[in-house]
Amino acid sequence: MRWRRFLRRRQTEAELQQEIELHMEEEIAENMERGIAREEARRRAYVKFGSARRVREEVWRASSFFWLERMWGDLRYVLRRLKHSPSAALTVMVSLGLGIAANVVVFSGVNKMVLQGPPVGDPANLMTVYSTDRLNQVGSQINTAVFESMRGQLKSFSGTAAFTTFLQATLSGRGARVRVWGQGAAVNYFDVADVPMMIGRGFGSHEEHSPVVVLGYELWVHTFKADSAVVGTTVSLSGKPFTVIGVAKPGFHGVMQFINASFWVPLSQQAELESVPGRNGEWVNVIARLDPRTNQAKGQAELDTVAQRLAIEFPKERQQQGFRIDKAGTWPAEAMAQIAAFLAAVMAVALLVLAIAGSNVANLLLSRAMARHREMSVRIALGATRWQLMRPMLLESVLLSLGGGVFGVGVSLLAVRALLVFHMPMDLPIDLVLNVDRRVLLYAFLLSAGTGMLCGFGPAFAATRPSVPNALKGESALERPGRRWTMRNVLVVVQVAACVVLLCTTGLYLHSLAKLANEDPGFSTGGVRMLSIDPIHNGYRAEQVPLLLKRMRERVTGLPVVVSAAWTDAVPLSMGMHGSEFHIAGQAGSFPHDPYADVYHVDPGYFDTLGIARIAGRNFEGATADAPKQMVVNEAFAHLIFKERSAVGEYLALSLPAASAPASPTAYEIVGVVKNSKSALMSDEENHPVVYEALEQNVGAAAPLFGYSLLVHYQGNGAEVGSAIRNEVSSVDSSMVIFDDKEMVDRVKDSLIIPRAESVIFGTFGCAGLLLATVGLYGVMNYSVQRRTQEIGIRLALGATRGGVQRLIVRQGMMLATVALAIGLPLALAASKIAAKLQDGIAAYDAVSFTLMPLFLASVALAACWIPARRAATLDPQTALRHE
Amino acid sequence: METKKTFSSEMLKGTLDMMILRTLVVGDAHGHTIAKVIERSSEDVLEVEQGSLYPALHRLEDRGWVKSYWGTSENNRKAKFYQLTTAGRRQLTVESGRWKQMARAIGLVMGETSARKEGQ
Repeated sequence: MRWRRFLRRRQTEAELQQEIELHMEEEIAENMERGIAREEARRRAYVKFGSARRVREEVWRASSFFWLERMWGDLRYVLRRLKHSPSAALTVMVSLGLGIAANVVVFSGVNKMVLQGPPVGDPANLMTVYSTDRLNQVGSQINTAVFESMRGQLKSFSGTAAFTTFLQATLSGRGARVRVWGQGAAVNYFDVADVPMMIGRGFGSHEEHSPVVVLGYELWVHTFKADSAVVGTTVSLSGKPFTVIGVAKPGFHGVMQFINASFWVPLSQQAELESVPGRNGEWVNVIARLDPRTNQAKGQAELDTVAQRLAIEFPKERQQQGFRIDKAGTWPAEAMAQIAAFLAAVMAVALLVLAIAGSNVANLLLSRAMARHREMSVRIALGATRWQLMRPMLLESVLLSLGGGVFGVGVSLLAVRALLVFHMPMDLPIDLVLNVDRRVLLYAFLLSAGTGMLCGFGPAFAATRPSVPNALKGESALERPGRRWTMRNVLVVVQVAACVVLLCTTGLYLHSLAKLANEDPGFSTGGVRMLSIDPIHNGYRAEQVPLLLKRMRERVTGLPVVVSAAWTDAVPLSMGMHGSEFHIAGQAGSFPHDPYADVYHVDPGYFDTLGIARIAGRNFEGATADAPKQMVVNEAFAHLIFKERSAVGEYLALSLPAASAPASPTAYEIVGVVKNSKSALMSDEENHPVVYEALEQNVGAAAPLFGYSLLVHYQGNGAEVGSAIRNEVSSVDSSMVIFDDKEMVDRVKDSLIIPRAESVIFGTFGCAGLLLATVGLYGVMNYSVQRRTQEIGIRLALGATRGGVQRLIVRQGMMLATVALAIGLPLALAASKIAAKLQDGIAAYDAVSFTLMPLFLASVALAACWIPARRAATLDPQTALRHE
Repeated sequence: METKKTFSSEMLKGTLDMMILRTLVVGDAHGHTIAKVIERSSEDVLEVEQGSLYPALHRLEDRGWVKSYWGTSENNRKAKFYQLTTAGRRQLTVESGRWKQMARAIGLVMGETSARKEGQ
């Protein structure tokens, strides 16, 4: 009915008209029956009926679609107005766009880390089972034997499945060999995760020990060119034949959020592919599907009981250990709290940028509204309601802000792509790619609309203040003389104060990055290249590795540009080394309490190549596989164990948990002591303990996760040397996959990924904030000069000097800036305390940042005031006095 | 520009709806008849501004309390007739109940003895 009336307005109108006509005719006829003359009868009927036009309008307005038409009218009006001032519209959209882009990028991070569930079926009921220690801290992985026993006892779960985190392999079958990362998975993994296959099938229950592989969608597309005939064929993983049985659905990259697994093999095959059996396969991650009839609390309760039973069954492994379940694909509560705190901080900063942008827009809209105050007053005087006047103004700001949102999303798409330059300082399938998906777009939309409402409301409310008489006389309804704190002043103070907070925080991060980047890692990075290979996963047996490495090193050192070269199982500043506790050989070790050191397995040439000076003893000599074990320690570790005594000639042994400690542990002779250098991270303390063991004596103990890396000290052009080195390595084995082939300087840069990313984020936000706040201050001062033109004219006419006028304006602007600084600085200090808490290496009270940034800001503010002040000083009193 | 609504016209709007519904209980009618009936049955006290009848009729139709159809008037003119629906009948009961309550309350306040007696 209503729709019909809306869509066929003309017909409805006609019907109403007809109805009214009939009414009149009847009334006239009735009047005439009473003996009234025709003309008089007509007149009386019309008087009695009232205005037919009003009736028609009222009927139309009462229909539910009246607002739609009204809106359309407003919209046309607003668009017409915007067309007349495209530059103002553009300014608003760009400012808001920058603010919105900042928020959209941050939100896409939130979306990735917090909101996005794992790409599995019914993610709400899929749980990850974590192992916890006696302090209830999450230790994540679970021993395979424990898992096997546990899975049989669980009743609240319809299925449990285990999988490993990383499994590396070299894939060949089509085209060149590629290094790929996958996971070992229980045969029911895809059933429990409820992940359908795109083509082919998942693991069958009988395939626990079969050499079969399920490919990830992306690997299938990139390496196999999306050829569905690949299912059923045989490919080679690290030299072993595997039958492809299926391709997982697009978008599935494993249950863990940040790990990009691209293939899956049955759990038992992990050991086959690792070559060194049992290293990774012994510890697994566990997912469990909650039975729909139960809930998380009941599942947890059951796991608590099972944990007690397991403590009896596995007295060694499960003493005082429990389980905790959490939604799969999310983070354990502890990690989540940290991530959430960090994201909240970054989000707050992004909102700060948006607030600064929003203040600008509010100011601009305010001055646009001011320009129309007389029109507004006339309309109010004629009877318009306040809401009627505000409606188009609000619509205008929302429209502008949505335009800003579109611009912002565009900018954020570029920004997300730009963030790809950051990579982790290691070759792991870590997925750091941010996406702008539907949820992010919705957020952008809501944020834009909300910002528009918020920015538009103040100006609209102020501009429609019904102070009619003054305005009609030509006085401004908004700027009452004698009022010092106008809305524009408050806005600009808020802006500059927000900018103080932003810039000081940015300063902190930049300062800490500069400190880290300039820090001496303790080894030379210039003129050093690295290159990694993984012989174990290229079909070599452990005992073949030493010879291979030796031949490659010899080829490379043969190059005239190469000064020295050495293999290592871990490159410093790559987070990839392992570590151990040590005790003096012959004494009893106490496993978790003995001094800890990062352990590197290196060639003797390592110290020369990286320029790490020896301060006592000698280098490795004759450290062959069957010779007595040798080690070189750094100063810090020597001091940790032997204090002032000389460490050279002493013997150390590995401290191990009581359960796995051998009766007579191997003793390592300390043959030398070298200077300290950074190990895992640039932010390591100066004296991080490090132990170097001879590579040749340790090959085959375990396949290093990141393969072996050749460090080369060279002279000349890095790129040319790089390709020469690559050629030499390939000449020994042309099928060997080479990765992480880069300058050491770049690796150091990558190792600063977190401070660099933070600095880029905060730096960008800070610059945007500064720009926006400067424009804001300038706009307000400029406007103030315009408004005071007459006053300035009088001052000049009465003998004020130009300098005096200039000072007057600058003083006014600087007063605002000073107030803003006074408000902003304590807030900035508070913010810096939060930042210091969130991240190591950030000083809470960084004198440099807190002196330089306010000074910098003050000078920018001065410039922003000075330009309008100069304009004021050059006014001609004659013209100024006549200015309206 | 919207018309300013005084308290009385606002109050009348609710009662006008009720009176229209009441008129239609007797039988279907077109606008003019409704106006006449209201006037006459109120002994010409309530002289409705006849124009306001039509927005009210359309409002009632939107809410589904009356239905309309085109028919022929007593004077053989094509006229739009309004008919009470079941929902309208229900609404009338609700509103006349409320009205009686209100009338009694006002009567009490104004000290009308008849109202007080009724209450006792």
